[in-house]
Amino acid sequence: MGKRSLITWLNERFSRGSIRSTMFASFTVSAVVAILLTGATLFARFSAQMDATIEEENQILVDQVNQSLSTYLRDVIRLSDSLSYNVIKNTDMESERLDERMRLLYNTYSDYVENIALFDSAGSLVATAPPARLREGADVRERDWFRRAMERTENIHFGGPTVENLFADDAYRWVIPLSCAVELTRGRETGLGVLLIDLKYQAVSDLFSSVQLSGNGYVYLIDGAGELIYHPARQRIATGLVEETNLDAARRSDGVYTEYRDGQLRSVIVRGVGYTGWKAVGVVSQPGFRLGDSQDILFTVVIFCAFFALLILMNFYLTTKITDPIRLLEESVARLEQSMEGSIYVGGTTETRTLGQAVQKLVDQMRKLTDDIVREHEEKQKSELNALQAQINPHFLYNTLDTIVWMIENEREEDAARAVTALARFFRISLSKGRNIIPVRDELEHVRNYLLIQEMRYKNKFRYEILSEPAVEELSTIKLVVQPIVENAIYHSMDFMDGGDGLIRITARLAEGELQISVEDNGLGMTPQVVEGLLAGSPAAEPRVPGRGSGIGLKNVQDRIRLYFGAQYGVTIDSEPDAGTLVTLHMPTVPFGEMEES
Amino acid sequence: MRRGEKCLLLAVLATLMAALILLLIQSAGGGGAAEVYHVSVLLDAAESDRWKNLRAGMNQAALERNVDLRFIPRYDEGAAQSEILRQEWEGGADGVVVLPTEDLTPVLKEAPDRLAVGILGPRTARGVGDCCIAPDYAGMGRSLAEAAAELGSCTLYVEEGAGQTALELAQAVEAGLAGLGVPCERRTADPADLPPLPEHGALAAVEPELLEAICAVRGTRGRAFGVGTSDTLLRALEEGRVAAMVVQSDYDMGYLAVSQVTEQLTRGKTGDVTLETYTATGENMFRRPMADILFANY
Amino acid sequence: MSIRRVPALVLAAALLCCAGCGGGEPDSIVIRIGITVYKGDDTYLSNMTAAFQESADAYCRETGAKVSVTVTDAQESQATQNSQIDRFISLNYDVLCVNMVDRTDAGRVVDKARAADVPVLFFNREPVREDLTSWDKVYYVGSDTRESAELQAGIVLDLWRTDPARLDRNGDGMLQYVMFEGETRHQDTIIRTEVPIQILKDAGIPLERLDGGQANWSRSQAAALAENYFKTYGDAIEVIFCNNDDMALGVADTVERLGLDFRNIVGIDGTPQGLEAVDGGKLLGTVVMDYAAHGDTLFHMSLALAGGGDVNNTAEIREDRSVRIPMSVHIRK
Repeated sequence: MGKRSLITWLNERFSRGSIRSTMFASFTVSAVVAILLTGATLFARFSAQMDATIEEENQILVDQVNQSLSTYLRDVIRLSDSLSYNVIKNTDMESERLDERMRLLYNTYSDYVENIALFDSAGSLVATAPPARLREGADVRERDWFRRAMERTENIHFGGPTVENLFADDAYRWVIPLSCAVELTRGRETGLGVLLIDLKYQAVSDLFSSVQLSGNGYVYLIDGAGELIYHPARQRIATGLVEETNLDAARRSDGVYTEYRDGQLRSVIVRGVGYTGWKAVGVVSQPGFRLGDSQDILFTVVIFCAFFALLILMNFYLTTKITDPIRLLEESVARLEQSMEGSIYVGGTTETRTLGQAVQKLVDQMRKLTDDIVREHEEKQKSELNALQAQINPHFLYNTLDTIVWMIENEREEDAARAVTALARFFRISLSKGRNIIPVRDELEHVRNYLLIQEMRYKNKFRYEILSEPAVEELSTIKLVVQPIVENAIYHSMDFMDGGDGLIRITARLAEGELQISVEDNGLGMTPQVVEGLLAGSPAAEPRVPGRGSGIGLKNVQDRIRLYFGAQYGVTIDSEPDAGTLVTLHMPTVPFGEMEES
Repeated sequence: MRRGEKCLLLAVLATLMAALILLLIQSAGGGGAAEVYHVSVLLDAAESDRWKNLRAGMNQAALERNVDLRFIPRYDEGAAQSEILRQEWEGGADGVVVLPTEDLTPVLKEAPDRLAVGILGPRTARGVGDCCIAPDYAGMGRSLAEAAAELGSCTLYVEEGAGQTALELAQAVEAGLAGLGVPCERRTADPADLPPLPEHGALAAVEPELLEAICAVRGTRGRAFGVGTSDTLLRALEEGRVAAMVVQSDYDMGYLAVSQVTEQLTRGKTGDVTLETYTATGENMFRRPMADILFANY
Repeated sequence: MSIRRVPALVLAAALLCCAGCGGGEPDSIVIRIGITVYKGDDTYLSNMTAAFQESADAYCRETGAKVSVTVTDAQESQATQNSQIDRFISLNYDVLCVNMVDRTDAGRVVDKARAADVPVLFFNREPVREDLTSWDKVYYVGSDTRESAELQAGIVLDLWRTDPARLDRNGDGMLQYVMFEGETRHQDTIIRTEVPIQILKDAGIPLERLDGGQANWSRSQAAALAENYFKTYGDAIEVIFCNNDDMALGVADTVERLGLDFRNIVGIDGTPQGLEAVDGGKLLGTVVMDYAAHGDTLFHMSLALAGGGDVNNTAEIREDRSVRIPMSVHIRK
C-alpha cells in the first residue's frame, strides 16, 4: 500500500464513516496527540530546567564547600599570624613561658587544629600545645614543612596530608601541616624559628564528605600539582582499585567541564581555593534528571492509561448525547420513506430537535396535500360517474313514447295514462332533485316504474317481482343502480325467452350486515369469462346491442358503489349458462339522511 | 457502546490495572533500593587495632550499599568460631564475613543457601564460601623472601597450631628464599614465651603477634621481617626495629569483602578477589601511596 | 454497562492515590543497640563497652534472645557522631547509647531520636538538664562526679592524717600540688578540679597550687605536661591530682622515664590499667568506677527501652533522669 492510497483510505474511512466513529476517531486522535505533545514538551522543558537547576545547585554546593574551606584556612592563617605576632614575636623565651598562651589559642581552635608546635632553627622544640613530647630521634630539620618555611620566610606554607609522627603519641593521625617562619627572642638575641600548625585532616574530610551532590556526586580536594588531598575513595585510589581524573582537573581553571569516563558523561566543577593553590573539584554524573526508574515508567503508563480510559468514556458520553439523536432521526425518516407511517423522532440537541420538528412539519404537510389530492380525485370520479349515470337514455324514451302513442292510437287510454304516469315517476326519481343518495324505497319505485313500462312493451315476455323487507326501505342507496342491472337482464336474457317464462325477481334485504339488492333472472346466464368481462368493463364482453340498453353498464354501478361506499362493497354476479343470473348489489346499511351527499 | 469501543476500553483498563498492581507491589515490597542487608563480621580479635583499616573499608562499603554491619566483638573463651557462625545465621544475618581461625568447612556446608559467605583468606575448598578475598600469598612470601634475603640467612618462626593462612605464607617464604638461594630454617614459637633468637640473619614471622614479640627483644633491630600490620608494628617499623613488612591493603580487603557479599545477596553470584601486596619499610611508610595503605583509617 | 464501570473507576482512582505511598518493612526479631563513643581509645570507655558486650552475651545465652550491639568511634568529631547516629536510626536500631563528643549539642540528638521514636541513653558525658528532660525516653548513665571528687580527696586526706610525711616531703606543713585537668568542656573536669581541693581546704590542710594544666584526659598529653612540670618544679611537687586514671598513668610514665621516685599520684576511674598501677606502687590510689556495673546497667536499661519494658525496674533512676553508678576507693594495701 503506497503512501498515497493509505492517506486516501484513511480519509475515506474518516469522512464516510458514521458520525459516531468519525467523532470518536478525531476526538481520540486529537486528544492523544495533545497529551503526547504536551507531555513530551513539558518533560523536555522540565528535565532541561531540572538539569540546569541541579547543575546550578551542584555548583553552589561546591562553592559552599570552597567557602567553608577558605574560612578554615583563613582562620588558621589568622591563628598563625596571631601566634607569630602576638605570642611569639615579643616574648622572651628565656623569661616567659609560651606554652600557656599557645594553649589558650589552641583551645579556641581545637576543633580543627591537632597540634601547635614551635621550633627553633636548630630543630629543637620550644613550645607546644597541647602538651606533647617529641618522639626520640625525630629531626624536624629534614621535614618538608621546616625546610620550606626556612626557605621562604615570608610565606605561610601548606603541606599535603601526612601522617604526623613527630610526637610521642600513641596514635598516628593524618594532618595537614601549616608552617611559617617566625622570629624568636632569646634574651637579647633574635633568631628564626618555625611555627608548625597541624590541621586536623578530619576537619577537612568531614567538610567534604558531608557535601551531597546530586545522585552519586562527590567533591574532592587536590593541591596545586594535582595530588589528592581529600577524596572519598582515597584509600582505594592509592591501591588502584578506583581511578580519578585529578591530574586533568589540576590543569583546569575554574569552571564547569564535561568529561567522558567509564561509559558515562560526567560534569566536573572546578573551584580554586584561595591562597593555597588548591582546587575543590565536584564530580556529578550526567544526566541529572531522568526517568530511569521502572517505577517512573509504570507511573507514566498508569497516568496515560487512566487518561485514555477517561477519554474513551467521555467520548462515549458525548457521542451518545449528540449522535444517537441524529441516528434516531435518520432511522425515523428512513422508516417514513418506506411506509409513510410513523412519526419523526424529536429529541437530542437543539439543532437535532429543530431538524426533527421541521421534518415532521413537512411530512404532515405532505400527508395533508396527498389526502387533498386523493379526495379531489375521488370527487372528480364521482362527478363523472354521476354525470354518466344521469344521462338519459334516449332510446328508452323514444321507445316508450312510441308505445304510448300506439296505446293512444289503439284507444287503450288507461294503459297510456298508466305508462305516462310511470314514465313521469321514472324520470322524477332519476332526477331526485339532483341528489345522488336516495332511500331504497325510491330506488325500488324507480325500478318498478321501469319494469311497468318494459312489461307493457315486452308484453308477456316476462314477469317481475319486487320484494323488500320493510327494514331496508329507509336505508340509503345510490340512485339509478338497480335499473341498469334490470335493463341488462331484460335485454340479454328476457328477450330470448319464450312464452312468458321469464322471471325477474328483485329483492332488497339485510344480509351479512349489508344492504343487498339482488336482481335474479332465469335467463340465458353467462359464462364466467363474460361475468369477468362485465365487471371489468371490457367492451368485448358486453356486446353492444344497438338501440338497446342504457350503455352504462355494470361497471359504472360497481364504480359508483365503490366510490361512495368503499372498496368492500360492490356488485357480485352469480351466473351459469342456461341457469339464470343473480346480480347482487352490496351496500352498507346507512339509514337515509345520515349519508352525506358527496 | 459499540463493540470496538468496548474492547478498547477494556484493554486500556486492563493495562491500567496491571501497571497499578505492579507499582503497588514494587513500592510495598520495599522498593528494592531500600533493602537493608544484615552482615556479621567475625574476625579473630575484632577489638584489636590490627583491624582498624579493615573496619574502615568495611564501614565505607556498608555505607555505600546500605548494609547494617555488625562486628562480633569477642568470643567467649572456648566458643568456637563455627559456633558463633551458626549463631549468626540463625540470628537472621543475611551474610557473614569471616576471618577463619579454624577449619570452617564443616559448618559452612551446613549453612543455608541464602547466607552469603565472604572469607578473608585463601579458598580452602570448592563450594565453601561464596567469595574469598585474600592477597596473593605466594607473592607475599616471595616479597618477604626478597626483603629478608639481604641478610643472607633466615629463621622463620611459626606459631604452634598456626592457621591455614600462616602455613601457606610460611611455605611461600621458604620457597622464595630457596629460590634465591638463601638458607631458611623454620621454627615454632609461642609469642608469650619466645625461645632465644639467633644472633644473625633475618628473623621472619608470618603472624603479627609473633613479630611483635620478636621485635621487642633486644638485638633484633633491623632484622625482623613480617607480614601484616598493627599499631605496635608500625611503631616498630618507624623506629627501625622491624626492617620490612609485606602488607596488603586492609582497607581494600574490607571494602571488597562487604562489596562482594552484598553482590552475592543482590545478584546471586560473585567471585574471588586477589589483593595486591606491598612491601613497607621505614623509608616509604610515610610517603604516599604507602601511607594511604598503612594508615587507611582517618 | 456504565453502572458496572463506576466501581471499577472508583477502585482505579483509589489505587492511583496509593501509588505514591510506599509500604513498610517487616520487623526483625533481633534487638539492635547502637553505641557511639566519643573516642575509641579512651580506656575507661573501652572497658565499659566491653562490659556492656559481656552483659549482652550473657543475656543472650540465658534467654536465647538475639541482641546485636554495634559500637562506633566518633573520633572526637561531633559531625562524625551525628552521621553515625543518623545511620543507626536509618537502619532501624531499637535504642541508642550516645557518649556525646560535644555535650552541648545533645538537643539535636534528642530531637532526631524523638522524631524516629528511638530511645536514647546518654552515658559518661552528661548533657545539660534541659536536654535530658525534654523527652521521656532519654536517660543518662554516668558517675556522680562530685562523689568521685570527694572520694579522691578522701585518699589524700586519709594519707595526710595517717602518714603526713609521705605527702609533705619538704616538711613545710603545706601540701604543694599540681593539678592535671581533663577537657575544658567536660562537666567532670570542673568538679574534679575544684572539689577535692575544696574538701582538703575545708579539712584544714594548707594547700599550695604549684601549677596545673589541661591534659585533656590523655595519657600522652599528661606525660608531656608532667615532663615540663618535673623539669620546672622538680622535688617541690608533693602530690599530683589527676582528673582521670589515664592522665595519672601518663604522669607515672614520665616518672618512670625520668627515673624519678614519685608515687603521690591520684587518679579517678579505676580502669584495670589504673588498678594495676596502684597495685604496682606507681599510683597512690584511684577511685574505682564500677565500669562493669556501668556497662551492665546501661545494657539492661537499653534492653528495657528497646523491648518496651519498664526501665524503672532496671536501675535506680533519679529525678533528673540520671543513673549514677557506684564507686569505691582503691589504694595500695
